[in-house]
Amino acid sequence: MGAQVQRARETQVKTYAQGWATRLVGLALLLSGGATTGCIAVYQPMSGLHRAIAVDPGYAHLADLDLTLHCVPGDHLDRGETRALCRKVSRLFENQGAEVRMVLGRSPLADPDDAPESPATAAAPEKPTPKTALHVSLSSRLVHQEEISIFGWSIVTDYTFAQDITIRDESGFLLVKDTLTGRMMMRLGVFEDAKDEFTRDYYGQISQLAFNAKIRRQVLRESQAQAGTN
Amino acid sequence: MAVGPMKRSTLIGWCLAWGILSMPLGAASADERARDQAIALEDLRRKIAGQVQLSAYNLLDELVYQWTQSPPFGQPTPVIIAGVTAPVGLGAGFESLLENHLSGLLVAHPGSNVILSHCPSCNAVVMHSGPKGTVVSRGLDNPEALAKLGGPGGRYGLYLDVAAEGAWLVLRARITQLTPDLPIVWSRTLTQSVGTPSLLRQQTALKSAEDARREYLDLLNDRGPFTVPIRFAVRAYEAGDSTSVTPVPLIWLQTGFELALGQARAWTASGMLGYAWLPEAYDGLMVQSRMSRLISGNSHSLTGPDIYLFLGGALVTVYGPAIAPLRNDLQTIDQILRDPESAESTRATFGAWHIGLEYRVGNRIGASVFLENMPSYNGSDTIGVFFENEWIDFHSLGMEVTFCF
Amino acid sequence: MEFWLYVLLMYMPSLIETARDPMNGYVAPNATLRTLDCEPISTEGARRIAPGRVSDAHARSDFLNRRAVVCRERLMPLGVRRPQDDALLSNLRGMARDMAGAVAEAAPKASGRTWLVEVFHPDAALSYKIGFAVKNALLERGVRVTDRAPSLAAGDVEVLGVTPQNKAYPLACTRYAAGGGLGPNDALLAVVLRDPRATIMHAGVCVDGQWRWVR
Repeated sequence: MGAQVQRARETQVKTYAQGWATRLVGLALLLSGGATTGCIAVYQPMSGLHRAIAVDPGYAHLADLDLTLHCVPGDHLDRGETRALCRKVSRLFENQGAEVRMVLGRSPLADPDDAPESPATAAAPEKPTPKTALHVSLSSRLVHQEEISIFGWSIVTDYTFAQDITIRDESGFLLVKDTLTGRMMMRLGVFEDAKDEFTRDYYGQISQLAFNAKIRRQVLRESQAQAGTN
Repeated sequence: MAVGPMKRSTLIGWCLAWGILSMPLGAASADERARDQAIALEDLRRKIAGQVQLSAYNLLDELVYQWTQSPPFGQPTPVIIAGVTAPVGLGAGFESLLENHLSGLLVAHPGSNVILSHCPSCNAVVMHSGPKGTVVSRGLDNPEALAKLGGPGGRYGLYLDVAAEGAWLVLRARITQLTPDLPIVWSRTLTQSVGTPSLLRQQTALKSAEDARREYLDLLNDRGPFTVPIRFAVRAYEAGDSTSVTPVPLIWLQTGFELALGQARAWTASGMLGYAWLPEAYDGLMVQSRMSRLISGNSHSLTGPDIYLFLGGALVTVYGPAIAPLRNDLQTIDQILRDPESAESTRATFGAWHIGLEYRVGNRIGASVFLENMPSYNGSDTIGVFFENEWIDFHSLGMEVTFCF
Repeated sequence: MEFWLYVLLMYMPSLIETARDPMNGYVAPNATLRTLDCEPISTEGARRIAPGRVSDAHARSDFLNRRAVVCRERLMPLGVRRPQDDALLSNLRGMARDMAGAVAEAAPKASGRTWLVEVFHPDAALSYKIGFAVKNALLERGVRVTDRAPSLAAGDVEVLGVTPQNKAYPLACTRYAAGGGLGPNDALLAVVLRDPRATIMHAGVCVDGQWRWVR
């Protein structure tokens, strides 16, 4: 009987000690999990970002382009972040052979009252420029944001953003307009390749749009010339 | 020291030698990679063709159905299948499948006024020399040459094209009159999203999409609210604090009835009788009732799985030598020795309530897991606890597989 | 055991929410994520598209946030077709309607003529599909379309083959009219890929020997 009680006590102590060890380990994991929660970003391209592209951003496709890059701050990106984005996109275009000027703010050509309805009605430039001049306007907006917090500690941040891109020629005629929508989730996770994937998608799409605008501008210039000779 | 330069040159020499030797190996592995990629791509194309085939058939069914409702010609008219093209990336086999399906539909529905006609010279390459020059083309594209060959002057050619455009499968059809002007007399574009389930219409009796869908839903709901489930369940127990003997898991075979409390099957109620048996170990009987609530939606899914949360109660009686750990009292050695038959006649009778989740597919098969509390074993020394907390002790962990008929 | 159950309870709402979410941060990104085209829509729109999937808000507020995203899986995953072909085919309907609309704008008397459609693309299969789509789009607008292809003399073809693009199309238009390839009641809509690196096509019309880019 005495041995039974002793064994029971030992079992109780062992169980008690095991229980506490589990709790301590669990608490440590919880705290470390808490410290690392939100540090993993997961990216989902929603529309436009994962479209197939035919240009390789590593080649100089925009060698004869003179680009003015207008970056508009908004609710999604503040001035500092917009400026950083502008610099990166500017470098992307420069690597592809274009000459780029950065402007923080809306393009004056974006005003519908100023922009002509068609290239034929635009005032012809006084002297032909050797390079094609295009105005690229980038603006970001937040489509949706959701946060799951427990006791004031945010464990999941989920936001959907949209980047509006418009490219106009020097007279303000709209050549290309597109919206790239994506979703980012910051949460506790194991795998992360969000930044590389998003960069690859974004740079690819914006390069393709710029190239399409360049070709469209060429065709419209031929059309204007043809109209002139006719 | 002279060792340094010599070592460097030796190293460079080795690197060059290694580079030269590994070049064919590298090239071979690149060839293998390219071959593997080509095989993987071919497999992927085959899989896509299989997935797209039903949707393409659906579109063809809809096209011919629309012809039966509103024929392109006022009277039965011979038409040649001039061209069928599949989505870019899929092979000629897919085109043959489409053509066969279309032929079957047109033969089965003469009311469409589109009568298939055979014209060997239409798809053959013909050469026609005239004052304007020599033209080499398919017979269909050169009606003047076709007329001279005795082809189907004035008949019609049907062109079909199936294209995969993003998430949409698009069927384009046009009918061209085979005269020198080749005027297009009729055209239609039909689209279907990838998420739309196939209507599986019968080839010989086409219905409208609404009728086909209604028939499909009636078939799925035809079983009514009442089903007979057959369930295999296992209940496992933990050893109590005062014993190191883990009670044997109880294996149950249950059957009874299940009633859906509504068309949506959002609530269901069931009553089951169960029998447990393990040779030389135990026998048992159980009566159980349960209420389930669908938590994966407002109504049960016709094509996807459903998740139910259930709450139920059971009355269990089990007996046999293996049931001793389930007794709520520990017998001493003296008590056992005094009554040698007690081991054989050991019986435990108790009530229990359980809560759990069930994953059910198509209202046919389900798997569930639950935790059970046996109130008479609260604070028991013989039966342990699976999930201990301040409010409720769960003494049993159960898993089930259910088949519904 | 109890600790893990507490953790599970804490993350349960988030886990349940991710059950239908194509993206989650707990397992490796799913390869099919890149085959989905997703679009946020309003809850009213979601109720119209999929009745019963989005519950109605209770009259006295149920403290639930509702949002809807429509995701459609691409039929052809990226990589099965060439990227440029994929880019052109993914929006073929939209492009065809755009081209047909351009014809209506550029040639107001389009319905009085018979239109021929020619596609200039290096890939014959793609040219056929684009031509088919454009012809159907024109027919939907009530325009008369023919399957006839305009013909050129062999010498014209040889000359055009060495002419720069910006001059070739107007020259071909002139030769079509002069050589009888296009009759007085005919018109030609040419859909052209100007650069293999572009993912857009351009439309030009040839009417009475006069060429004009319209898109």
